Amino acid sequence: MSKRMNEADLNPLRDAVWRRKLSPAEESRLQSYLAARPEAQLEWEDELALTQALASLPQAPLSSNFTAQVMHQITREQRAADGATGRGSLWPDWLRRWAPRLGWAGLVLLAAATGFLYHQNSSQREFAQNVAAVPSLAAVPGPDILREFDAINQLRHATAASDDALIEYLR
Amino acid sequence: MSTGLDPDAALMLRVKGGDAQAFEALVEKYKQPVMNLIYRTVPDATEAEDLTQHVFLQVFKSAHRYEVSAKFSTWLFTIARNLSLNEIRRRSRHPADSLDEMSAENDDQPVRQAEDSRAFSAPDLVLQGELVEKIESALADLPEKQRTAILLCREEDVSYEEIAAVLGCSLSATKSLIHRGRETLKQKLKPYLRTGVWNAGARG
Repeated sequence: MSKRMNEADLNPLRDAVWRRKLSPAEESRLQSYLAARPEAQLEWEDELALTQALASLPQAPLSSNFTAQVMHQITREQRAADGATGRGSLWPDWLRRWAPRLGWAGLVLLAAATGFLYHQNSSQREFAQNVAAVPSLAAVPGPDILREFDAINQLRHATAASDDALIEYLR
Repeated sequence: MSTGLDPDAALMLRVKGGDAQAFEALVEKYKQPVMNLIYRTVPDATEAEDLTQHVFLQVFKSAHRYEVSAKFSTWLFTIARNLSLNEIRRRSRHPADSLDEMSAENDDQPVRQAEDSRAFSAPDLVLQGELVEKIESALADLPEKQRTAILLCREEDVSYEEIAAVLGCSLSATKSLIHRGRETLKQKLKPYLRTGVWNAGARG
Protein backbone atom coordinates (compact mmCIF):
# COMPACT_ATOMS: atom_id res chain seq x y z
CA MET A 1 0.00 0.00 0.00
CA SER A 2 1.36 3.34 -1.00
CA LYS A 3 2.12 5.85 1.71
CA ARG A 4 0.88 8.50 -0.71
CA MET A 5 -2.74 7.70 0.01
CA ASN A 6 -4.87 10.69 -0.91
CA GLU A 7 -8.14 11.99 0.58
CA ALA A 8 -10.28 10.23 -2.01
CA ASP A 9 -8.70 6.91 -1.05
CA LEU A 10 -9.69 7.61 2.52
CA ASN A 11 -13.41 7.92 1.76
CA PRO A 12 -14.14 4.18 1.78
CA LEU A 13 -12.24 3.92 5.07
CA ARG A 14 -14.23 6.82 6.50
CA ASP A 15 -17.51 5.24 5.32
CA ALA A 16 -16.46 2.03 7.05
CA VAL A 17 -15.31 3.69 10.25
CA TRP A 18 -18.63 5.48 10.62
CA ARG A 19 -20.39 2.12 10.86
CA ARG A 20 -18.09 -0.49 12.39
CA LYS A 21 -14.67 -1.51 13.56
CA LEU A 22 -12.20 -1.68 10.71
CA SER A 23 -11.08 -5.02 9.36
CA PRO A 24 -7.36 -5.84 9.74
CA ALA A 25 -6.78 -4.94 6.08
CA GLU A 26 -8.54 -1.60 6.47
CA GLU A 27 -6.70 -0.97 9.71
CA SER A 28 -3.38 -1.53 7.99
CA ARG A 29 -4.30 0.90 5.20
CA LEU A 30 -5.25 3.49 7.77
CA GLN A 31 -2.02 3.00 9.68
CA SER A 32 0.02 3.47 6.54
CA TYR A 33 -1.88 6.69 5.85
CA LEU A 34 -1.37 7.93 9.40
CA ALA A 35 2.33 7.08 9.27
CA ALA A 36 2.63 9.65 6.49
CA ARG A 37 0.22 12.11 8.17
CA PRO A 38 0.80 11.93 11.95
CA GLU A 39 -1.17 15.18 12.43
CA ALA A 40 -4.33 13.29 11.39
CA GLN A 41 -3.81 10.68 14.12
CA LEU A 42 -5.95 12.37 16.77
CA GLU A 43 -8.76 13.10 14.34
CA TRP A 44 -8.98 9.44 13.35
CA GLU A 45 -8.81 8.30 16.93
CA ASP A 46 -11.80 10.53 17.66
CA GLU A 47 -13.66 9.06 14.69
CA LEU A 48 -13.05 5.54 15.93
CA ALA A 49 -13.98 6.45 19.49
CA LEU A 50 -17.20 8.13 18.37
CA THR A 51 -18.22 5.07 16.37
CA GLN A 52 -17.60 2.91 19.43
CA ALA A 53 -19.48 5.37 21.64
CA LEU A 54 -22.49 5.34 19.31
CA ALA A 55 -22.36 1.56 19.11
CA SER A 56 -22.30 1.32 22.89
CA LEU A 57 -25.59 3.22 23.26
CA PRO A 58 -28.04 0.90 24.99
CA GLN A 59 -31.10 -0.42 23.20
CA ALA A 60 -34.20 1.67 23.83
CA PRO A 61 -36.39 0.08 26.53
CA LEU A 62 -39.11 -2.05 25.00
CA SER A 63 -41.81 -4.17 26.67
CA SER A 64 -41.07 -7.86 26.52
CA ASN A 65 -44.59 -8.50 25.22
CA PHE A 66 -44.39 -5.81 22.54
CA THR A 67 -45.03 -8.21 19.65
CA ALA A 68 -48.05 -9.68 21.45
CA GLN A 69 -49.43 -6.17 21.95
CA VAL A 70 -49.03 -5.33 18.26
CA MET A 71 -50.69 -8.56 17.17
CA HIS A 72 -53.52 -7.93 19.64
CA GLN A 73 -54.02 -4.44 18.23
CA ILE A 74 -54.10 -5.81 14.71
CA THR A 75 -56.72 -8.39 15.64
CA ARG A 76 -58.81 -5.64 17.25
CA GLU A 77 -58.50 -3.36 14.25
CA GLN A 78 -59.37 -6.17 11.87
CA ARG A 79 -62.44 -7.05 13.93
CA ALA A 80 -63.49 -3.40 14.06
CA ALA A 81 -62.96 -3.04 10.31
CA ASP A 82 -64.94 -6.21 9.63
CA GLY A 83 -67.76 -4.86 11.80
CA ALA A 84 -67.73 -1.47 10.11
CA THR A 85 -67.69 -2.82 6.59
CA GLY A 86 -69.99 -5.77 7.28
CA ARG A 87 -67.43 -8.24 5.99
CA GLY A 88 -68.88 -11.70 5.91
CA SER A 89 -72.18 -10.38 4.67
CA LEU A 90 -73.50 -11.06 1.19
CA TRP A 91 -72.37 -7.62 -0.02
CA PRO A 92 -69.43 -7.96 -2.36
CA ASP A 93 -66.27 -5.90 -1.77
CA TRP A 94 -66.73 -3.68 -4.82
CA LEU A 95 -70.23 -2.75 -3.72
CA ARG A 96 -69.00 -1.73 -0.25
CA ARG A 97 -66.24 0.36 -1.80
CA TRP A 98 -68.65 2.08 -4.18
CA ALA A 99 -71.50 2.46 -1.72
CA PRO A 100 -70.84 6.13 -0.79
CA ARG A 101 -70.48 7.18 -4.43
CA LEU A 102 -73.57 5.20 -5.40
CA GLY A 103 -75.42 6.84 -2.51
CA TRP A 104 -74.58 10.32 -3.72
CA ALA A 105 -75.43 9.45 -7.32
CA GLY A 106 -78.80 8.09 -6.14
CA LEU A 107 -79.47 11.28 -4.22
CA VAL A 108 -78.70 13.44 -7.26
CA LEU A 109 -80.96 11.28 -9.47
CA LEU A 110 -83.76 11.46 -6.91
CA ALA A 111 -83.48 15.27 -6.77
CA ALA A 112 -83.49 15.48 -10.59
CA ALA A 113 -86.53 13.16 -10.86
CA THR A 114 -88.42 15.14 -8.19
CA GLY A 115 -87.67 18.41 -10.03
CA PHE A 116 -88.77 16.95 -13.35
CA LEU A 117 -92.03 15.57 -11.92
CA TYR A 118 -92.76 18.88 -10.20
CA HIS A 119 -92.14 20.77 -13.43
CA GLN A 120 -94.32 18.34 -15.40
CA ASN A 121 -97.09 18.54 -12.82
CA SER A 122 -97.16 22.36 -12.74
CA SER A 123 -97.15 22.50 -16.57
CA GLN A 124 -100.13 20.18 -16.68
CA ARG A 125 -101.97 22.20 -14.05
CA GLU A 126 -101.37 25.44 -15.98
CA PHE A 127 -102.58 23.82 -19.21
CA ALA A 128 -105.74 22.59 -17.49
CA GLN A 129 -106.45 26.10 -16.15
CA ASN A 130 -106.00 27.58 -19.63
CA VAL A 131 -108.36 25.03 -21.13
CA ALA A 132 -110.94 25.76 -18.42
CA ALA A 133 -110.83 29.49 -19.28
CA VAL A 134 -111.61 28.94 -23.00
CA PRO A 135 -115.45 28.49 -22.70
CA SER A 136 -115.91 31.80 -20.82
CA LEU A 137 -113.80 33.73 -23.35
CA ALA A 138 -115.44 32.13 -26.37
CA ALA A 139 -119.07 32.75 -25.24
CA VAL A 140 -121.21 33.95 -28.25
CA PRO A 141 -123.41 37.10 -27.56
CA GLY A 142 -127.19 36.60 -27.67
CA PRO A 143 -129.55 37.86 -30.56
CA ASP A 144 -130.67 40.94 -28.50
CA ILE A 145 -127.41 42.66 -29.30
CA LEU A 146 -128.45 42.73 -33.00
CA ARG A 147 -131.86 44.38 -32.39
CA GLU A 148 -130.71 47.94 -33.30
CA PHE A 149 -128.35 46.67 -36.02
CA ASP A 150 -130.19 48.27 -38.92
CA ALA A 151 -130.44 51.70 -37.26
CA ILE A 152 -126.80 51.69 -36.35
CA ASN A 153 -125.87 50.47 -39.77
CA GLN A 154 -127.78 53.46 -41.34
CA LEU A 155 -125.63 55.90 -39.41
CA ARG A 156 -122.70 54.94 -41.61
CA HIS A 157 -124.52 56.43 -44.64
CA ALA A 158 -125.53 59.77 -42.98
CA THR A 159 -124.20 62.94 -44.72
CA ALA A 160 -122.46 65.90 -43.07
CA ALA A 161 -125.55 68.08 -43.73
CA SER A 162 -127.85 65.76 -41.86
CA ASP A 163 -125.35 65.74 -39.01
CA ASP A 164 -125.50 69.55 -38.85
CA ALA A 165 -129.30 69.41 -38.88
CA LEU A 166 -129.27 66.93 -36.05
CA ILE A 167 -126.91 69.10 -33.98
CA GLU A 168 -129.11 72.14 -34.63
CA TYR A 169 -132.15 70.17 -33.58
CA LEU A 170 -130.56 68.98 -30.39
CA ARG A 171 -129.71 72.54 -29.41
CA MET B 1 -40.46 -17.17 -5.46
CA SER B 2 -37.26 -15.62 -6.75
CA THR B 3 -34.10 -16.56 -4.83
CA GLY B 4 -32.89 -12.93 -5.11
CA LEU B 5 -35.91 -11.58 -3.26
CA ASP B 6 -35.20 -9.72 -0.02
CA PRO B 7 -36.36 -12.13 2.74
CA ASP B 8 -38.28 -9.31 4.43
CA ALA B 9 -40.02 -8.50 1.16
CA ALA B 10 -40.93 -12.17 0.85
CA LEU B 11 -42.45 -12.04 4.35
CA MET B 12 -44.27 -8.83 3.44
CA LEU B 13 -45.77 -10.46 0.37
CA ARG B 14 -47.08 -13.20 2.65
CA VAL B 15 -48.53 -10.50 4.92
CA LYS B 16 -50.20 -9.02 1.85
CA GLY B 17 -51.84 -12.40 1.38
CA GLY B 18 -53.15 -12.27 4.97
CA ASP B 19 -50.43 -14.29 6.74
CA ALA B 20 -50.32 -12.97 10.34
CA GLN B 21 -47.37 -15.17 11.30
CA ALA B 22 -45.22 -13.57 8.63
CA PHE B 23 -46.11 -10.19 10.08
CA GLU B 24 -45.25 -11.36 13.57
CA ALA B 25 -41.81 -12.38 12.27
CA LEU B 26 -41.27 -8.90 10.82
CA VAL B 27 -42.34 -7.23 14.07
CA GLU B 28 -40.01 -9.46 16.03
CA LYS B 29 -37.08 -8.63 13.75
CA TYR B 30 -37.57 -4.87 13.50
CA LYS B 31 -39.20 -3.82 16.76
CA GLN B 32 -35.89 -2.90 18.41
CA PRO B 33 -34.32 -0.95 15.51
CA VAL B 34 -37.56 0.99 15.00
CA MET B 35 -37.89 1.67 18.72
CA ASN B 36 -34.23 2.77 18.87
CA LEU B 37 -34.88 5.31 16.14
CA ILE B 38 -38.17 6.61 17.55
CA TYR B 39 -37.00 6.72 21.16
CA ARG B 40 -34.24 9.12 20.19
CA THR B 41 -36.72 11.38 18.42
CA VAL B 42 -39.55 11.17 20.99
CA PRO B 43 -37.55 10.58 24.17
CA ASP B 44 -40.39 9.29 26.33
CA ALA B 45 -40.21 5.50 26.55
CA THR B 46 -43.97 4.96 26.78
CA GLU B 47 -44.83 7.33 23.97
CA ALA B 48 -41.99 6.02 21.84
CA GLU B 49 -43.29 2.49 22.33
CA ASP B 50 -46.85 3.55 21.44
CA LEU B 51 -45.50 5.22 18.33
CA THR B 52 -43.53 2.10 17.44
CA GLN B 53 -46.77 0.14 17.71
CA HIS B 54 -48.44 2.66 15.41
CA VAL B 55 -45.63 2.15 12.90
CA PHE B 56 -46.27 -1.58 12.73
CA LEU B 57 -50.03 -1.06 12.59
CA GLN B 58 -49.49 1.35 9.72
CA VAL B 59 -47.31 -1.21 7.96
CA PHE B 60 -50.00 -3.86 8.38
CA LYS B 61 -52.75 -1.55 7.14
CA SER B 62 -50.66 -0.54 4.12
CA ALA B 63 -49.61 -4.11 3.31
CA HIS B 64 -52.06 -4.28 0.39
CA ARG B 65 -50.24 -1.36 -1.24
CA TYR B 66 -46.77 -2.83 -0.70
CA GLU B 67 -44.71 -3.27 -3.87
CA VAL B 68 -41.29 -4.90 -3.91
CA SER B 69 -39.59 -1.84 -5.38
CA ALA B 70 -37.32 -1.11 -2.41
CA LYS B 71 -36.05 -2.97 0.60
CA PHE B 72 -38.68 -3.53 3.25
CA SER B 73 -36.51 -1.88 5.92
CA THR B 74 -36.31 1.33 3.86
CA TRP B 75 -40.09 1.46 3.69
CA LEU B 76 -40.40 0.65 7.40
CA PHE B 77 -37.90 3.28 8.55
CA THR B 78 -39.52 5.86 6.28
CA ILE B 79 -42.88 5.20 7.96
CA ALA B 80 -41.20 5.34 11.39
CA ARG B 81 -39.54 8.66 10.59
CA ASN B 82 -42.72 10.20 9.17
CA LEU B 83 -44.81 9.16 12.17
CA SER B 84 -42.17 10.52 14.56
CA LEU B 85 -42.12 13.84 12.72
CA ASN B 86 -45.94 13.96 12.75
CA GLU B 87 -45.89 13.30 16.47
CA ILE B 88 -43.38 16.10 17.05
CA ARG B 89 -45.56 18.47 14.99
CA ARG B 90 -48.68 17.35 16.86
CA ARG B 91 -46.93 17.90 20.20
CA SER B 92 -45.89 21.38 19.22
CA ARG B 93 -49.56 22.18 18.48
CA HIS B 94 -51.03 20.33 21.51
CA PRO B 95 -48.25 20.05 24.09
CA ALA B 96 -50.52 18.63 26.82
CA ASP B 97 -51.77 15.61 24.81
CA SER B 98 -50.04 12.29 24.93
CA LEU B 99 -50.38 9.26 22.68
CA ASP B 100 -51.78 7.30 25.64
CA GLU B 101 -54.71 9.72 25.86
CA MET B 102 -55.23 9.40 22.13
CA SER B 103 -55.51 5.63 22.39
CA ALA B 104 -57.31 5.50 25.73
CA GLU B 105 -59.91 3.22 24.22
CA ASN B 106 -57.34 0.42 24.01
CA ASP B 107 -57.87 -0.55 27.63
CA ASP B 108 -58.22 -4.23 26.90
CA GLN B 109 -54.69 -4.36 25.48
CA PRO B 110 -52.17 -6.64 27.18
CA VAL B 111 -50.38 -4.81 29.98
CA ARG B 112 -46.88 -3.64 29.10
CA GLN B 113 -44.19 -5.79 30.61
CA ALA B 114 -41.33 -3.41 31.20
CA GLU B 115 -37.79 -4.54 30.81
CA ASP B 116 -34.85 -2.41 31.85
CA SER B 117 -32.43 -2.92 29.03
CA ARG B 118 -30.37 0.03 30.23
CA ALA B 119 -28.95 -1.90 33.16
CA PHE B 120 -25.24 -2.40 32.84
CA SER B 121 -23.74 -5.63 33.94
CA ALA B 122 -20.88 -4.36 36.13
CA PRO B 123 -20.78 -1.59 38.77
CA ASP B 124 -17.66 -0.11 37.21
CA LEU B 125 -19.74 0.79 34.21
CA VAL B 126 -21.47 3.55 36.15
CA LEU B 127 -19.07 5.95 34.45
CA GLN B 128 -20.14 4.60 31.11
CA GLY B 129 -23.78 5.17 32.11
CA GLU B 130 -22.95 8.81 32.70
CA LEU B 131 -21.16 9.07 29.38
CA VAL B 132 -24.10 7.42 27.64
CA GLU B 133 -26.27 10.20 29.01
CA LYS B 134 -23.86 12.74 27.55
CA ILE B 135 -23.98 11.19 24.11
CA GLU B 136 -27.79 10.76 24.25
CA SER B 137 -28.07 14.43 25.09
CA ALA B 138 -25.66 15.46 22.32
CA LEU B 139 -27.61 13.29 19.86
CA ALA B 140 -30.89 14.86 20.97
CA ASP B 141 -29.48 18.31 20.24
CA LEU B 142 -28.64 17.46 16.63
CA PRO B 143 -30.96 18.53 13.81
CA GLU B 144 -33.45 15.74 13.06
CA LYS B 145 -31.97 14.72 9.70
CA GLN B 146 -28.42 14.48 11.06
CA ARG B 147 -29.62 12.49 14.06
CA THR B 148 -31.71 10.09 11.97
CA ALA B 149 -28.85 9.58 9.52
CA ILE B 150 -26.41 8.80 12.34
CA LEU B 151 -28.84 6.46 14.09
CA LEU B 152 -29.62 4.55 10.91
CA CYS B 153 -25.90 4.38 10.24
CA ARG B 154 -25.63 2.27 13.42
CA GLU B 155 -27.92 -0.36 11.93
CA GLU B 156 -25.69 -2.87 10.20
CA ASP B 157 -28.25 -3.90 7.57
CA VAL B 158 -29.07 -0.37 6.45
CA SER B 159 -26.85 0.86 3.63
CA TYR B 160 -26.00 4.50 2.93
CA GLU B 161 -28.29 4.32 -0.13
CA GLU B 162 -31.18 3.20 2.08
CA ILE B 163 -30.51 5.96 4.60
CA ALA B 164 -30.62 8.41 1.70
CA ALA B 165 -33.96 6.94 0.59
CA VAL B 166 -35.43 7.22 4.10
CA LEU B 167 -34.32 10.85 4.37
CA GLY B 168 -35.30 11.69 0.80
CA CYS B 169 -31.78 13.00 0.07
CA SER B 170 -29.05 12.17 -2.40
CA LEU B 171 -26.26 9.84 -1.32
CA SER B 172 -23.73 12.67 -1.13
CA ALA B 173 -26.13 14.85 0.88
CA THR B 174 -26.68 11.95 3.28
CA LYS B 175 -22.95 11.46 3.82
CA SER B 176 -22.61 15.18 4.33
CA LEU B 177 -25.36 15.05 6.99
CA ILE B 178 -23.58 12.21 8.77
CA HIS B 179 -20.24 14.02 8.56
CA ARG B 180 -21.66 17.25 9.96
CA GLY B 181 -23.53 15.43 12.71
CA ARG B 182 -20.45 13.49 13.71
CA GLU B 183 -18.33 16.63 13.72
CA THR B 184 -20.81 18.25 16.15
CA LEU B 185 -20.80 15.15 18.34
CA LYS B 186 -17.00 15.00 18.35
CA GLN B 187 -16.82 18.63 19.41
CA LYS B 188 -19.29 18.13 22.25
CA LEU B 189 -17.91 14.80 23.41
CA LYS B 190 -14.20 15.36 22.84
CA PRO B 191 -13.23 15.13 26.53
CA TYR B 192 -15.17 11.88 26.91
CA LEU B 193 -14.13 10.26 23.64
CA ARG B 194 -10.49 10.22 24.67
CA THR B 195 -11.09 8.42 27.96
CA GLY B 196 -11.17 5.04 26.19
CA VAL B 197 -14.16 3.91 28.27
CA TRP B 198 -16.16 3.13 25.11
CA ASN B 199 -14.14 0.03 24.34
CA ALA B 200 -15.58 -1.70 27.41
CA GLY B 201 -19.19 -1.17 26.44
CA ALA B 202 -19.12 -1.53 22.67
CA ARG B 203 -21.95 -3.61 21.23
CA GLY B 204 -21.50 -7.04 19.67
